[in-house]
Amino acid sequence: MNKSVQMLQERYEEAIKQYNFFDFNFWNDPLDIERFYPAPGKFEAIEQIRKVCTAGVLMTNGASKTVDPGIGNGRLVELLNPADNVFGALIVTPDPQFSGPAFEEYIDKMTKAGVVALRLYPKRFYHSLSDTVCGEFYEILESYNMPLIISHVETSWDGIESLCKRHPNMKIVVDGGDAKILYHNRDYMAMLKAYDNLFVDTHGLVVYDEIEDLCKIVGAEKLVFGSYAVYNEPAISITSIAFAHISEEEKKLIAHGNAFRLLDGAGKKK
Amino acid sequence: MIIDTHMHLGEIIGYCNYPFNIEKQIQVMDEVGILYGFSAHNIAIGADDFEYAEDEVAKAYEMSGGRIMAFHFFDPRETDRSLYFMEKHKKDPAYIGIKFHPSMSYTDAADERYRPSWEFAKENKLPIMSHTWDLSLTNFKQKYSHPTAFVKYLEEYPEVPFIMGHSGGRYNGVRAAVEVGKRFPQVYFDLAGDLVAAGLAKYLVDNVGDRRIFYASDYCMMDPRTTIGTVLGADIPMETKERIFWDNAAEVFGLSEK
Repeated sequence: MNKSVQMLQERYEEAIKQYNFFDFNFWNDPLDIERFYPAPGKFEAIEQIRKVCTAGVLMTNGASKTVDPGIGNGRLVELLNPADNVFGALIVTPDPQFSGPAFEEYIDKMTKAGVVALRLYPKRFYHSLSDTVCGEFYEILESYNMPLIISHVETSWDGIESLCKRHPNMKIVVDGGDAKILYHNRDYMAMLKAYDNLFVDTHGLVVYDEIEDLCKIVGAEKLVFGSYAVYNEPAISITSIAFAHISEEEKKLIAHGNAFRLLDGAGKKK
Repeated sequence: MIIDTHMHLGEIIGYCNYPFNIEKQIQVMDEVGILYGFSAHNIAIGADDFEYAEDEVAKAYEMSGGRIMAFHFFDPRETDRSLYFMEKHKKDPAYIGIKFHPSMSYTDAADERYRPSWEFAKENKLPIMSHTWDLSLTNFKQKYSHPTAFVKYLEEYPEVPFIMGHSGGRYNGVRAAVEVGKRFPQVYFDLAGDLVAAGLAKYLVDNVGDRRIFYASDYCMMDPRTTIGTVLGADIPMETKERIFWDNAAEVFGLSEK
């Protein structure tokens, strides 16, 4: 028996219980085909992630990105259970035919079902992030106290900085998605330090000692645990926090505390 | 104890990273329980500075008490210089194999200029480890390292153990690597990577067995405390995890615990 491997395994399993992870970046995607094993069913996927993310999940439906935002969002809300900390993030697109009171009515219905965040995909859905094009979303996000989640490869770091400046009351979480966010650490370290309303999801933060560095430079409160499951392996995101050389308090902040703070009151209109 | 078959010495430029430091590397290995680490020098891979790399390999081997060993780096664009250093150190216990990085060398893995290194590996009974990766829309050089590009030499040199670094990379690259591995029993797989598709370790075990997979971190770019999650979280038996962390590499590289 390899004792050090046994000890690592025990540390990993203990960390799951000890830090009570909330997955801010969980995807439900029964249609996903680029995977080694058939995608788990919609309920099975939630059961699987809740085994390691005991505090809850912020979930997006993959079909919102690959089929149609409206269809995916519809499938998402059927699965939400705010009483059990299963919350939702919608993907929205700026369609003039679906704006104004109709859109606000839609958001009102969705937030009552457990939606607490919006995601924008400006490259994938071919739109600008300007206030002219997306201003309605920014107003909704601020008035419903919801965070905006956006990937660094869906815009530019200049675009993210511009959003932070233009909307200081809007909380913005950068999600590395399936791209190497680690190559951009010069940008996100500086911007997280400069903007109180900017946060980063941890699943792509895999550079050596990066979690420690970020805690020292920008503070643990700017890091939000995310796994990018069902696409990626959640254990990697867990060990990067659980085995980091940071305080227990910082680990708990990253694992669930920051997510709870970001989502506190989210979805309730001011 | 753990064997990490995919580490690096030296700094990497491009993004903000830790200044390279051998003391720090030993400390990291101790912390995670890595007894042996096999490094390839970033300065050799990225800038062909073999002399600089040679000095640091010697220092790392000495300072670590033989725990940090190295791959000879072979650049097919610098065949003579690469072979000079390989020949010079062929009896040096600090060197444990040969490393290719076809993407960084801008030379397809099937290129004829690699042949001297395969001959060297055969003659000296050394494994070859290479960066492998899927085709990428954003990094065209990755096509040089596609798992299928190695088939030509795998057919010709069945006696040379060959390690697919990153197991082919991401999703489609891994599937391609596994197909190559099914044809060639001398092919091994390392788990180094930054964004790891769900179920990677189990998929490899289910498809190529539990004896051909190595734990690997890609330190000093990636954090070993992160990459161990690929194995710890996998739905595979504990004995298989132990094989991945130690036994498989120990058998191929002929190592035992101190």
